[in-house]
Amino acid sequence: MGSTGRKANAMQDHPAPINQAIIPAVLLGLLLGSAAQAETVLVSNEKGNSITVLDADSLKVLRTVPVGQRPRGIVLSKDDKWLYICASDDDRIDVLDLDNFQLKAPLPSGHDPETFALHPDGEHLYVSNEDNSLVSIVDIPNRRIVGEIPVGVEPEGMAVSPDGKWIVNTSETTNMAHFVDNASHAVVANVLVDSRPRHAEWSSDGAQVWVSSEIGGTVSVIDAATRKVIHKISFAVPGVPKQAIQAVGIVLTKDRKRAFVALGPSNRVAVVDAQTFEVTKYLLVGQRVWNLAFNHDETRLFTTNGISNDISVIDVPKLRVIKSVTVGNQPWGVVVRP
Amino acid sequence: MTPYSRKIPGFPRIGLLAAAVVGLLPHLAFAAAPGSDPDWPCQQPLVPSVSAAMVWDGPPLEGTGDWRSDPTVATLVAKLADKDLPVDQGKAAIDQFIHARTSNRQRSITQAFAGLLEENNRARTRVIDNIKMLAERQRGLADVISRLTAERDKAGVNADPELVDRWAFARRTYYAVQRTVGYACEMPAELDQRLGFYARELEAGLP
Repeated sequence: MGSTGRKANAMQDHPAPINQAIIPAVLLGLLLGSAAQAETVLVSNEKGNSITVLDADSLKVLRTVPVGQRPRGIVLSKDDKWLYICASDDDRIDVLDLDNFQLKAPLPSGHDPETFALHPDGEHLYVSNEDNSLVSIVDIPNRRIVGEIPVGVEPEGMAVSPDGKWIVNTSETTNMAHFVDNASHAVVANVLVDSRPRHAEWSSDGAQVWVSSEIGGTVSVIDAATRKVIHKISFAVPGVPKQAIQAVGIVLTKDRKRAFVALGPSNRVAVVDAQTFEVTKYLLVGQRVWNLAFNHDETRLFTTNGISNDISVIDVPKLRVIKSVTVGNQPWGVVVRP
Repeated sequence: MTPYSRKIPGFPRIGLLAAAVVGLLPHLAFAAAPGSDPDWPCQQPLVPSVSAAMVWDGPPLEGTGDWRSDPTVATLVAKLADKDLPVDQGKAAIDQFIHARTSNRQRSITQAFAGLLEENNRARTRVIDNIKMLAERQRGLADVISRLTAERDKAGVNADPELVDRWAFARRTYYAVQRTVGYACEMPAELDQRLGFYARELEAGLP
């Protein structure tokens, strides 16, 4: 653990107010126009009720957009023009136009949407309704709920297989990953994992599903064909109490060579060799690291840190934390728009 | 569900009030949130204490000596340990402390963090104990409510108005205390937030 990452905290960036009276409108337009060409990082702020928009290269905060109450899960539309936002306390999915940052008419979500996943067809969202033990299927073009799938108690993590045929939902209280056949909407397998499963992530080849367990502090690697746990990854950070190691967000590189796991209040991201399942490094990031997102070429990884109210930026090739940037109150979800 | 960091001004007073209220009804009740500790009522998993490694990337604390032995360090720690101190004032105090240190700066800063960590864990333990106490009383109160509900249902329309009043009062008390528990559950995160902020400020001053 080098000091570079933490020293970066001293360089926290704050949203710079743009004084339109000073900066000519033309220049402002150019600035915003050029920003739209670059990759942008979008962060949901659970208690800030907003989305923070950052330039992925300069790491400057470009704007903060007010949205519905308690925004948590966020996902980009297939064409990257829209951001879908679980506005949990408003029981709806907000739809943000990423060209002009205006909210459009919201989509239905069922009760208390926390997380969701987009089908590869780009037209269906699968929403976990935590209080109802249901997964709601939202037809985006027709703006209605077209199906409900009963699952375990307190559904949480949602993931759709790359071919769109399988849905995986985790249930916090039942401690299971439920495999759902998307043709019949029937649960075909319930895979027991460790306590309070949070996040499910398919590998890009559709061969595996990785499921994190917050209280168990582990990641279960499930073979998608047999639906059996083929490996359980444990974590141990020197000097950090075991109770603080709570596995939450997971991302896998497209080549399935490496995984990154957010470890909650241990304030670490674990780097995992996804072939051998060995943990190769722990990176110190901000406080209560929750979710993760790569940029397009997987050279940078962004983490949301819910207690320190910032994101950490990881240089993936060097496996170093290079900067932290203050965002809104209690950042939760993160995606990168190409 | 995720941990929060909402400010709860005057929590100790709320806690005492709640304790006094629940003391009127000696049994309260309550399902513990899913987790490894059955006595822990919060959705946020219990982390009993914060270690240096969780928030500190500076020099090791071992071998830096007792932070209380340096009056300026002890004064800074005492100031920062006050959870009602606005963090910008805490930051200013740290800046002043660092700039006044021309020699042994690394040792002094490390000592200051050690003191801050110790005081934070002391406050944390107190909060956690209060939360567990409230949870225990809630469990007792739930038992009382269950018993009163059964008595009221058994009596039906002929239920004694005094019984109905006791039942309603117990329920109101339960939900009021439950809200207090909800707020209290956010306090460890609030303490951790301050600790993390000050730790980063101290680290930034390391030579």
